Amino acid sequence: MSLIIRYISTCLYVPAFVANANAAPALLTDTGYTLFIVILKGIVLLVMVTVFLYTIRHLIFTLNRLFSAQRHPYLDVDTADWPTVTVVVPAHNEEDVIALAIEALLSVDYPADKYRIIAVDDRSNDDTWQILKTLEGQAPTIISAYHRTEGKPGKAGVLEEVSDLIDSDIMIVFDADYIPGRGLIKQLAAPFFDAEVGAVMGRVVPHNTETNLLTRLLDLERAAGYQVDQQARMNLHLVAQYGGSVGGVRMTALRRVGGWNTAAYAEDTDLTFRLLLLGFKTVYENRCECYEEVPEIWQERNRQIMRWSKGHNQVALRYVFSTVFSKRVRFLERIDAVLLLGVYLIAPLLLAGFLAAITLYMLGELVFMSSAWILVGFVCFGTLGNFAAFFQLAAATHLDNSGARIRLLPLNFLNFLVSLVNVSRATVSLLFNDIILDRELRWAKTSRYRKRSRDETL
Amino acid sequence: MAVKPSWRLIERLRHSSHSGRVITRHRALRTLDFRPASILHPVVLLSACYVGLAFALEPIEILWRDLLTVAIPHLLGTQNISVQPVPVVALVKASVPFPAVHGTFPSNTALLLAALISVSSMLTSFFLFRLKALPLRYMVWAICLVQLLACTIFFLVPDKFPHTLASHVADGFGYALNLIFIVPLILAVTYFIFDYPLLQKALGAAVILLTLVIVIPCQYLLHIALIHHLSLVVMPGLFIFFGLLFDIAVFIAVYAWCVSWRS
Repeated sequence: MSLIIRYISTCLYVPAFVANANAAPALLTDTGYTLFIVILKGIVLLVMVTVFLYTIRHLIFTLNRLFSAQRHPYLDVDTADWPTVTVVVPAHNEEDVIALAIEALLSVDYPADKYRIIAVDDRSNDDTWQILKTLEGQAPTIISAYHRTEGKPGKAGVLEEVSDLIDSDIMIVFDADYIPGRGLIKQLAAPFFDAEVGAVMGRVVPHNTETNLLTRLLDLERAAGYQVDQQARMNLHLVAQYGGSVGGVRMTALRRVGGWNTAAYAEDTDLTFRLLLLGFKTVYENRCECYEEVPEIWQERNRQIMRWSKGHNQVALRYVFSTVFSKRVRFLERIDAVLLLGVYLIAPLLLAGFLAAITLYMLGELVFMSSAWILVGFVCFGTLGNFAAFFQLAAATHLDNSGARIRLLPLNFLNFLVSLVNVSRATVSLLFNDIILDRELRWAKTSRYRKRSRDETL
Repeated sequence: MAVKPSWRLIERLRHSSHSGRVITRHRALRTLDFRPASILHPVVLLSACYVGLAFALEPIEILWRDLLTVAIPHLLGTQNISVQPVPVVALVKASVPFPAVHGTFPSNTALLLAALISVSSMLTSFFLFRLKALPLRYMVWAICLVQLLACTIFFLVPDKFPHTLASHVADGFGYALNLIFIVPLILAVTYFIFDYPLLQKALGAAVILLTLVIVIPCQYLLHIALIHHLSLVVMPGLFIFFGLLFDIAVFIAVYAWCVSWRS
């Protein structure tokens, strides 16, 4: 045992070892150094291969989105015997935004006899409940205000509790700050005429883009994620992702997969994979736009991306093997699913790669450094949340016809850097706090920045 | 006899307004038309870029060498400039210039000063860059941590640092030249595929390549000045953050500008 400890400590104690390299008396030292360098080069090589694979993936997605025939199979469904729909809006201290969202939901063109809104106040400390009661009084046949005082806090807890109250065919989920367009509910409900479809996801477009640099950078990230990534997956029959808001789920499918997972940080991604494993498809509808508020301060962005990262990695640990060996999932879907599940592991891997490359540089071991730096250097101007490469951001802004926005691309390095650190932190936290120490999930609400919409609308 | 209308004509009519203008599709449905030009433009421009670079390689070598020859005596007080052959994308060899100077090794006082500046910068950034400028704090911390690592290595194993000013500049020019030769390939799949006119894309590529050719020697002259005055202790930070990564940032900035041009 002592020999093993000595061996490992010799391998890791680089400076002392390097200092004595020439006069190294024992074979152990030479072997240790060689092993150390091999490990570092192995890490750099692993990062290079991973980054290369993802770059190819995103190049395929971008080219597909730019030039291929786009799949919008349910876009023309306009007149139908529409299914019954319940829209659930979970709200926790949302007095500034909830009224506008509910009023927008009341003005949609869905048949009133088949449409219901359940607005859930999840133990708010502000006037959210009073606002919901007032709105319920204005449209009692459509809105049901639901006051939650106990049970697991957080969105997944709300959805699981409310699911028992729903007797409609489809459940659609909106965040309290989302503002839907008039035709959105029909657009989201249309794909459910296809019996294979388990869930539907629409596009989220930030409306507070002009606020500051962060909101502009997040707008670029969202554009690449939805306009290119999700639509290309839809085109290629791959794994489109259900994102939790601006999306719907078939109630029979939800019941078959066992309802919402309240133990998950990302109940939406968790549901995507449980549906996939059961043979249901998730459909992405690029035309279903809904307008959201993105974080306006970096701390909030950090909390958001850490929560996403933890949730996504949790799902990866849970479902990666069952997805790989599933007979219900097509081969290409399996590859895409594994790459999708690995997206948030890129950050810690890149960080390890950077550290390994710096150490190799300090030790003068500069093999394949040039190509490694060039490859990884380009990654630094993409995004980490959805791992969109720089050209994907360019393609998204080109398709959105908002060319000038792309001039912010070099500044996306700031977003990358912050995400790199915080996604890595979240991965470590998931490993130690959640898996090893088995701590219970703590739910954190995203802050809102819009003010007084209640006074404007009520 | 009725003439069968072509599919292209029908598509055009579907998107023609009453006045004959094009009705643009919603952004959710928008794509780029796949035409012969979608393949032809990348092929033609890629070939043109490489032909251009093949002819420009020697002038680039001369330009960089002359720039160093003019500036080095002012910066270092020596005229000792050498050239080193470097492989460019494993196909051709090019000569890159470098000052035949090792650079000053940092004294213990310089190391202590560098470490103190790094620590105080980290502390200052912690209190200074809060809500709005948080990414700046991360940047300062990253640079300072690399600087502290460099100080530690110089302090513990002073004679094992493998790089000199000469090798730093020669390697840097070599990497940068490789980047310049990879750029057309990157542009072929990320810029030439867009539906801009051919000339606009050719101009964009020329602007990107020219910017790199001009920025790179200036960047390394600044490196030489900094390393000469502040010793080798700043070299790791310069290599990691202001070497190839900076060149890529320049590429991305000009690329983003070119992509934003209206066609």
